[in-house]
Amino acid sequence: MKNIVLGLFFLLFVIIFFMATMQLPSAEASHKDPAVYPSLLLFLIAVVGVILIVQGVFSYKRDGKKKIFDYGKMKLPFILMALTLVYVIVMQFIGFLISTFSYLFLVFMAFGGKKRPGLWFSSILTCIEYGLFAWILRVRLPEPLFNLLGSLL
Amino acid sequence: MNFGLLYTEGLNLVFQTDVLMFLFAGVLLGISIGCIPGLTVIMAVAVLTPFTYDLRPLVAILTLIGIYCGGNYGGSISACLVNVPGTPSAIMTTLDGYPLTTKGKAGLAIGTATVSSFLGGLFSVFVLTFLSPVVARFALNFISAEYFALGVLGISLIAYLGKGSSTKGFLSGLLGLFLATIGADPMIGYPRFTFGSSHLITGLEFITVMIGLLGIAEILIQAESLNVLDKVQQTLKGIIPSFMIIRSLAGVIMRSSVVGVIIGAIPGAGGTIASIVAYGQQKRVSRNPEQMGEGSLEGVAAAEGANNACTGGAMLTMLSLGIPGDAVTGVMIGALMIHGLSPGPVLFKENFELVSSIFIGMLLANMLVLVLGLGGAKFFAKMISAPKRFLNTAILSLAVIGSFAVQNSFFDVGVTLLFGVLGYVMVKFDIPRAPLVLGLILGPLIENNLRRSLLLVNGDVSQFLRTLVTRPISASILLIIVLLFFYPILKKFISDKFGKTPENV
Repeated sequence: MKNIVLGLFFLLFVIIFFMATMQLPSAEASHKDPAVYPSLLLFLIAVVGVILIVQGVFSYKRDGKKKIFDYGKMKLPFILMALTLVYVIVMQFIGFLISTFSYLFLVFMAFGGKKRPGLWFSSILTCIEYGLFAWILRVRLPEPLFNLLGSLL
Repeated sequence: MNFGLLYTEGLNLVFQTDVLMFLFAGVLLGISIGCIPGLTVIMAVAVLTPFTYDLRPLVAILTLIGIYCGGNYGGSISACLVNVPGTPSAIMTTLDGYPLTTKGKAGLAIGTATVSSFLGGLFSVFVLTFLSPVVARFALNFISAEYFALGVLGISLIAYLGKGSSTKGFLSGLLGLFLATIGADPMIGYPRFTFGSSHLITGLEFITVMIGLLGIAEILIQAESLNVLDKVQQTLKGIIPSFMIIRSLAGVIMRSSVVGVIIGAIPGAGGTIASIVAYGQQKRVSRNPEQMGEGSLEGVAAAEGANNACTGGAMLTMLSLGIPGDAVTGVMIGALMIHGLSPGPVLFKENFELVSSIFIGMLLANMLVLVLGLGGAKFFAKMISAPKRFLNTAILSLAVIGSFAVQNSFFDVGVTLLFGVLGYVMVKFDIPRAPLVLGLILGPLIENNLRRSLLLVNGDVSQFLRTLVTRPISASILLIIVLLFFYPILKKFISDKFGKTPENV
């Protein structure tokens, strides 16, 4: 079943990107045509996709309708990704320090940690990360709230 | 090019405080990560690469080499103490390392693993030092058609020899090659598959892709089962093996190191296959084969000597040909490129001191493995049973901020998250990720050389094919690629003969 789903997904992938290659300008000489090499790769991906479908069909009887995903197991990875996505969005508005502290605390709790060590851990790690990135690596971390406060003062 | 200078030129560059400090930190970090089951060397290298941006190229590359060498060894500690390999390549070490622990000889098991790892690594550095200039000199004469064939060989090897199904390995490699086409066309500069985004004009930022694919995805996989390993109960005593023991194992280590270097140089084969082959070979030639699997020092030495000797083999193809031997050296190529250096024969010509420093740095990294391994075994043993939630939380946030730090761009963070999900889904569908890494690295090399070769024959495909089959080097490479298609039959033969393949391990 896995192989059939995978094969079909990649055939869809090939169709979408093949349509995108059609938008590219064409040239008479093959070495100057920007679409030739990607089209060749898409063709090969399509061939492998078909092979996977065929393999899937042959192994279907043996494997039956075996579940592709164990959704119960995927709960925590899903929570982590959702938290990370929210963190990245929120950081742009409230800045690095507050968002990172909250994110670390929530991720730590999601991993089954306790509140008190979580608060300590998040505070310390936020400071370490700030020091490492802002001072040592000289990365300009987003701090819109601090910037706003600075301009008001 | 004066090759004689290759062995001394980098001495004064390596023996500087910052270089030695970062190399030490790299090895220490590598062993710490390697000894914790679930945390892989490749994840560490991918997540930590952005931290090396501000460093000098030599310091950056030697830090990563330190992690690489330390991590490869670190896996043996948990393999010996709790019967769980810290890295996949330490799988064979569990067979004899853990029985030794149950017999109350945990210290001896770790000591033997450490000395064998050191000697295997040392041997591989010597091979690297003597062979890579020769290979690089040979590769300087390659024409573009031969480089194209070499790139295709790299992808085919990793797809066929890597973990899991060859079809899926090939699919992963093709996906990597395709993703490498995103961005401006190398010949006419027209943007391809950028969907109007100016961020994609220069292509996908390699390091951000790696952080997602190998770093974030790994944490997501870890999150599915957060089991904490039992505390190591035994006190580690007699860690340093006697001279008699080392002398009795010298032949075993030598044989397995040769196997390790050869297998390490083959893209995709890697430490796991090397240790399986070396262990199988040792069992055949051993005077006491019945003791192997019951706590034999020969078994520990064979497995550890081979998987650490792989590092030199993988670095050999990376430095001299620009073809990474495994995913870790793939990420290292990306790290070198950030500093404006591209591995391959030209590196030997233009960055003599750097290559020399890498040789010397690898030698020192292996010495540090010996010192830290023997001296810090008790500390690493405690790390195995530490709760992973601290480390996983830190790695996840470092991965996010690290990807932002690459170009101060939230777009890059988005790419990292996207590839984190892709990596996770790939694991769920049993698609190996290493071929994708190699595809992304080799994509530009393959496309540029294919199109350059076509340009030389005015776009005549038949003439290009004729060049490919008539030049001895490209013809030999093509022959190997064809033979690879018969590899599944060979794999079945190995499986029948030894009863173990990388998959069922």
